[in-house]
Amino acid sequence: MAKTLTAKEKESTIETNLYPIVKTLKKYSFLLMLLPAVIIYGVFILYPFLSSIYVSLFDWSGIGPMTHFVGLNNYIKWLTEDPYSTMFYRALGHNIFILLINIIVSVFFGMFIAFLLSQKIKGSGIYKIIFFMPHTFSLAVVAFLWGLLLNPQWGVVNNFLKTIGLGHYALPWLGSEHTALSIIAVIGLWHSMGFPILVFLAAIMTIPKSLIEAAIIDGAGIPTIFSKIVIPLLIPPIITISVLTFIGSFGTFELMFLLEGAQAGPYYSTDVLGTLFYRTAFGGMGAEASGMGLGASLAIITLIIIIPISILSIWFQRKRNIEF
Amino acid sequence: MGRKILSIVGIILLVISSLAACSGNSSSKDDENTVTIWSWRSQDAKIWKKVEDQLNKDGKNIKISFRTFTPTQYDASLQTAMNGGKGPDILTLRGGSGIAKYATGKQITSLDNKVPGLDNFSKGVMSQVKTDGKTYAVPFAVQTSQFFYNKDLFKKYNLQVPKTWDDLINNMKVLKEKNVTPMGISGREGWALALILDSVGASQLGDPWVKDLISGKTHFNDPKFVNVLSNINSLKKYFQNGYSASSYQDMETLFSQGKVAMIVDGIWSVKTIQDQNPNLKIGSFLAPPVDTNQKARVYAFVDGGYGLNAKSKTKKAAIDVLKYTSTKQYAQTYTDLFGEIPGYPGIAPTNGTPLLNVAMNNYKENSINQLFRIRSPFSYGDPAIDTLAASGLQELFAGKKTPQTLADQLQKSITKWYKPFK
Repeated sequence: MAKTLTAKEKESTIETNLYPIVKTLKKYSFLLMLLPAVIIYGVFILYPFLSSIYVSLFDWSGIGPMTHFVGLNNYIKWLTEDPYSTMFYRALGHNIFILLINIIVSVFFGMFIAFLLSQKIKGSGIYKIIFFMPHTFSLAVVAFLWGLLLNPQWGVVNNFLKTIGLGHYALPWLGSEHTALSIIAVIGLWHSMGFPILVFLAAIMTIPKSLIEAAIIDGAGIPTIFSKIVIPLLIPPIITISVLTFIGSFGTFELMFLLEGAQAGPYYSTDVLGTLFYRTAFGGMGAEASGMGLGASLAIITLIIIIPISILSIWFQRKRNIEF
Repeated sequence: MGRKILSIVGIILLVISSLAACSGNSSSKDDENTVTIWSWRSQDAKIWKKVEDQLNKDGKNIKISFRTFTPTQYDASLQTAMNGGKGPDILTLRGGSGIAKYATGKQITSLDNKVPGLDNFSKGVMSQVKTDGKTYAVPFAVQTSQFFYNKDLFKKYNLQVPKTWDDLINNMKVLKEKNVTPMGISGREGWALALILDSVGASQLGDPWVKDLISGKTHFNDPKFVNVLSNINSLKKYFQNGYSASSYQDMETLFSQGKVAMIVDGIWSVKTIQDQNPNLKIGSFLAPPVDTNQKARVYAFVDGGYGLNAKSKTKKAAIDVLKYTSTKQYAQTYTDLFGEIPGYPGIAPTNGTPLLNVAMNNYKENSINQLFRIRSPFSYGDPAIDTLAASGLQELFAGKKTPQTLADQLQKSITKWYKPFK
């Protein structure tokens, strides 16, 4: 019998030959599924990030070819060389100041308000809306609004203080180095408080009623319930809010820029890393020299501060997850 | 199984083709006679149409393709396009470092010996479009800063436009006695405070002194400059209440509502102020010199200029367009269309407001030729005088610095990078 292959046999031979390839393709086909996300992540996050690191090694105005390689000189300037280092540490200090106020108020005050709202108070729904509403405004609107309220001539705040006989306290809030940063921090909190309250409220709602009822039977009052049951169970949201506040406080920029300009006046008393970066990279009012390389190095330094703490907190949070 | 292979190959093809579509090359035909121009000024479309018509009338077959961007996005768009080699033939550039950075980046070409009309521009203006001694742009608009005053209030209290610094202080005193706030400033926005330094310095420093400053023969802590700062500081008691918290808009509103009698502002603001209160009678004067031997002068600075892309493929046609923008005819059209001061000197607006006429006359007759603040040589390094003066004046008014310590600080900070001071 002549050794001729039937059509079916032929196909099966091809299949056997191709089988390992198909197997590999099948095994790694998940990579193909990941491709769209990886491309988007690469183009919009990874590439800009890596190129910022690259740019930060050059003395480059942002225009024309990057030819003047300076190594880590830009970083050294920020950390050790006056006036850059003065600007950097002052701005960093202001970020830390904002961070402390934000953490304290967001976490403790936020948790307290959320706890009150979780009680069956009349009209707690309306309070929820009132607390959350500012969060829906854009920061540009918030800045404009507060700029009007705090205006030294026709602002409501100062006129009110004068009317009730406290004219002595009618300060130029946004124009004094002693008050400007604190006032901006307060405006920022007015805008953002709704979010931590909402998160804490949601977390408090998930605490089983039976736990609290048992505590009441055992004779615990509200303070005891709050400190011994509610707070310990709220550790995960506390960490979440702290991390978000931390990242937010180091990325803060809009309010300072909108209320005090790129110069972050009065005489840099509201300067934060964001405004310092903006000024350095793009030049202030169009009249200054711009330094993209110097700006990029500042952005990387900021990142180096933020990333480890974020990673640490995620790790910490994983260990403390609570299940009922 | 065969079907599976097909589908995998199909997916790969699909992904590749979609990627290829993303990077689709939008190559356009390079028409030799089409000159592309980009700007943040959308109103310029009108003038470029006129330029095109005029050039065609002169027998030049040139087409102008004009494109505008949102002002806030323009700089980034232009920068990205230029770095990618896809910029326009003619770039509308912001004055000062806006021009300088493209020049030092070698992305725009020197216009020396290419645009002869530039010889007619003033030295002070030309110094602002030069980098390393070469001209890089045709200045199209100029701004000036000066005092504006409320004519009705001056009339009511029988005040004259001040001829000397003492006259000015006297006017302030009279107004204050009558419970009128003499002067409004924008204490919260340092950049606008620096305009006061420009105005007062222009009249009280003089070209020879500033020339010496630029060459390093004299310094910012020279008594002459300290005096200017002292004079500015002496105005402090006439500012509005809570001035340190007032924004630039607050200052303009106070003035337009007749709540303050004087402000120092740029000529660009006249329209805004007049729109806020059409009944306001605005007058203007230059900051007065210390004594009558000196002349009041004005600090005029270039708002922007037209640059030529070094990689332009239609350079010949683009230069023809630039040549036209350096003519008197273009400047006249520019003023009449936009009510702004053109770069070309000595133009009179056909139907401008009285204030514009005054400003243009000042620009023609009294502008200083050596600049010391905005667009000056001290503006091109880091820290620039603009930043230093902005925060420095805030400190001066807050009493945290004396005129002398502020001058010392300016000198010390600028010496860090300004070579003639070393």
